[in-house]
Amino acid sequence: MGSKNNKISAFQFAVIGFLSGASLFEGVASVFLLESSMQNSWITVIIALIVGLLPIGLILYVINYEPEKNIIEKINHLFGPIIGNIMNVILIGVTFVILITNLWSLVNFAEVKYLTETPATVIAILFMATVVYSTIKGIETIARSSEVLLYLFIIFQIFVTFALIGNLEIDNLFPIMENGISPILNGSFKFLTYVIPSFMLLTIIPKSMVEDNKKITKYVINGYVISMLVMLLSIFVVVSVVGPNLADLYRFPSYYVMKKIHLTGFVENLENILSILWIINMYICMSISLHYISTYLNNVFKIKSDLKRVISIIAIAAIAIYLKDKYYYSSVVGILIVRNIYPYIVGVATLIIISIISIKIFFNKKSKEIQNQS
Amino acid sequence: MIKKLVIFLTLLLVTGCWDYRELNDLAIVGSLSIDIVDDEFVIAAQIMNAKKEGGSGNSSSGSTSTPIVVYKFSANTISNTLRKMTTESPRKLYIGHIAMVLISENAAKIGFKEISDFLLRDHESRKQFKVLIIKDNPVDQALSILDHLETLTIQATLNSLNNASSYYGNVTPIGFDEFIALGFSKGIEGIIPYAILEGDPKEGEKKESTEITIPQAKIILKGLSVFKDDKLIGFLDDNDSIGFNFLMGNLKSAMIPFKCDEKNYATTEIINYKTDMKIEIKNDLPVVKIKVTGEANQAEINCNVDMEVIEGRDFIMNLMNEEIKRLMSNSIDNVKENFGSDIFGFERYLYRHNYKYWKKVEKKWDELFKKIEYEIDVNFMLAKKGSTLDSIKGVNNGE
Repeated sequence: MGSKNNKISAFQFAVIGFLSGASLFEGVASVFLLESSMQNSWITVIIALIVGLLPIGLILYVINYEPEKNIIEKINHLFGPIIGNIMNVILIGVTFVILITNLWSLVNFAEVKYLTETPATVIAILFMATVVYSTIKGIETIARSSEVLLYLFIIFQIFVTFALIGNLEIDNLFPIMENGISPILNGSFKFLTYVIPSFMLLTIIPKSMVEDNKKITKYVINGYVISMLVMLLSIFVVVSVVGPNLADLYRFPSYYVMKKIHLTGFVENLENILSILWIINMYICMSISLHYISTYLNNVFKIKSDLKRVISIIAIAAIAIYLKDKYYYSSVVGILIVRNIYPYIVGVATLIIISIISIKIFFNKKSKEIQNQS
Repeated sequence: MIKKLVIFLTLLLVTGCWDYRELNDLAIVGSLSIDIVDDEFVIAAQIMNAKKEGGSGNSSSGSTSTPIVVYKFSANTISNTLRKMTTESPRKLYIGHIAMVLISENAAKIGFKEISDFLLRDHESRKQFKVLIIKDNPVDQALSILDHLETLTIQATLNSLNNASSYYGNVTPIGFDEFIALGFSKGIEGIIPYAILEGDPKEGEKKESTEITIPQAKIILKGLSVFKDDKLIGFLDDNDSIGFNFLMGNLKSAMIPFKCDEKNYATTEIINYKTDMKIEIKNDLPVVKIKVTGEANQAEINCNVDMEVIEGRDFIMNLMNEEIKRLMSNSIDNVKENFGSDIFGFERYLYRHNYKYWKKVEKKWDELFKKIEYEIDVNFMLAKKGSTLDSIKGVNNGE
């Protein structure tokens, strides 16, 4: 099953990052972005884009080290079994939080907008079934789905942008930085905590699994930049079409803005089709998260048989659904968690661990160089 | 086998039958009216009579029932009032298709925020429905009046609102979301179109009233209502509303009548125009500079003016420009003096484009607004003459 499909292209590798990077934008990051920066949100995203290149660089540094190993093996190799396991468990926890948060975000969106009377658990099971299926099929399936969905994503994104051009009011973007740069800087750091951890998930794919792996660095940076530019475009359109105050009032501002699309007098209510944009993002992010956790379990418990692997993936998905229901039991609590806990638990933990690994790799390389010279 | 079982079970889950609601079980609400009496919400809901509208085949029932049904209840919250209606309505109310919400003068004076939360929060509500203030009369009466031309009364009012906005200019359709956005924006106050009821609403709600050529009751759009801090504080008349819409660039088309001699009037039709507003600071005080340019048609000239010569055309153009300037000036002066509510968004302009100055005057803006100076420059061109070259009186004079 999954083990047979294990080669992906550098492009697909970057697309997974690109799509999952923006998975928590709608309904989570965009809400807090507007709260902190209002009409300056677009500036916040630009600053985040620039600042985020540093952690992306660190992630790439980790990916490029020991190409045949995934991050779990790299950590064990670098830090030994005790510290290595502690770090891996922390990263698994982080990945679980990413998985659960994406699941909650998606279920919450479906619940609020379409399936108001359907129990959240049923929505979660239905969606998770798709994610489980692609994860069982292996990383190649996730990569191929990403590539296929990317084109759909691009078509929809371009359509939305062009359909809303007539509604843009640039005046809504003023005044610029009326309270100085500090709220924007704070906003950009917080914004990055919703974006960067998804890119960290890429480290679970060993570089050697990527066919044209020399292009990884270039493609991942491009994927990150384009992902940020897409979010920049979205927030720019939202703020300039409805103004920061109204956008700030809504839980899903882009969905609301899409309601403004009226083409030739009869093409309307497109927001319901176009919202598939965010579902694509969340689907890919959840698939790669599930793949990450499943790979970890395979490593720890030395799972070889396909059946056991399938059971482990289903078990992880079931636990994720259970934890979502337990901790994100209402949208109010969910918002509190993603606002006050997620950035620190996930964002900061990811950054610290990736930095520690990078530093360790750097010193390992240095000591090897010294040994070679001597 | 397991695969087949999983596929079968999944199929059962994706039929879309989970907690479904049949259309027959829903009462589709076309419009709501909201009033506040003795600290309670009084809500009336105009429900589309699908039995009548859909022509279910039962011709006898179709011919005797009215196209709309109105339920009216009161309770301490809007959501509770709507639920309370199920004690009378055989179907659950569905508000996803609301086209317009009518608000009583009293409720609007208490404050728009008092009535907004449910409409903004409810997932079924689409938020883009139009809002209209009903002046003087009980607001629920406006929902009960039957219309001669449109089956659904609220569709008639909505069409009137759009047509009056497009062809007359005394109203501007305001969506609920737009008004909420204005309420949250810095430096601009809200406006909502208002209407009055004329005639006898009690007669107007009877089905027989549609069999008489002259409507027994009607909803007439009068102009714009002025808000300050989400509370209704007054009403603009026809001309001031047109002046306001001119200034804000809301007009699509309008007729501008003006005196062209001692007794007679001429009318020009605005076909396109552009308003540019700037605020300059002179002696530490803001001066608003408004520049309007555009094109107009000669719609009617009842004076003895030779439109074949440049002087005649200039004469009419100057009069038209002066009239437009007067409309806008009167509107600004009236709002400044009588309401003190910055519905023009002068403060918002400063907030966006001169933040430092705005910060300085933010707290004393209300006083500053009442004294604000402005300069209006109107420059229209006569683009088309219509089917005739000269005015009738001009031709007669020439002969």
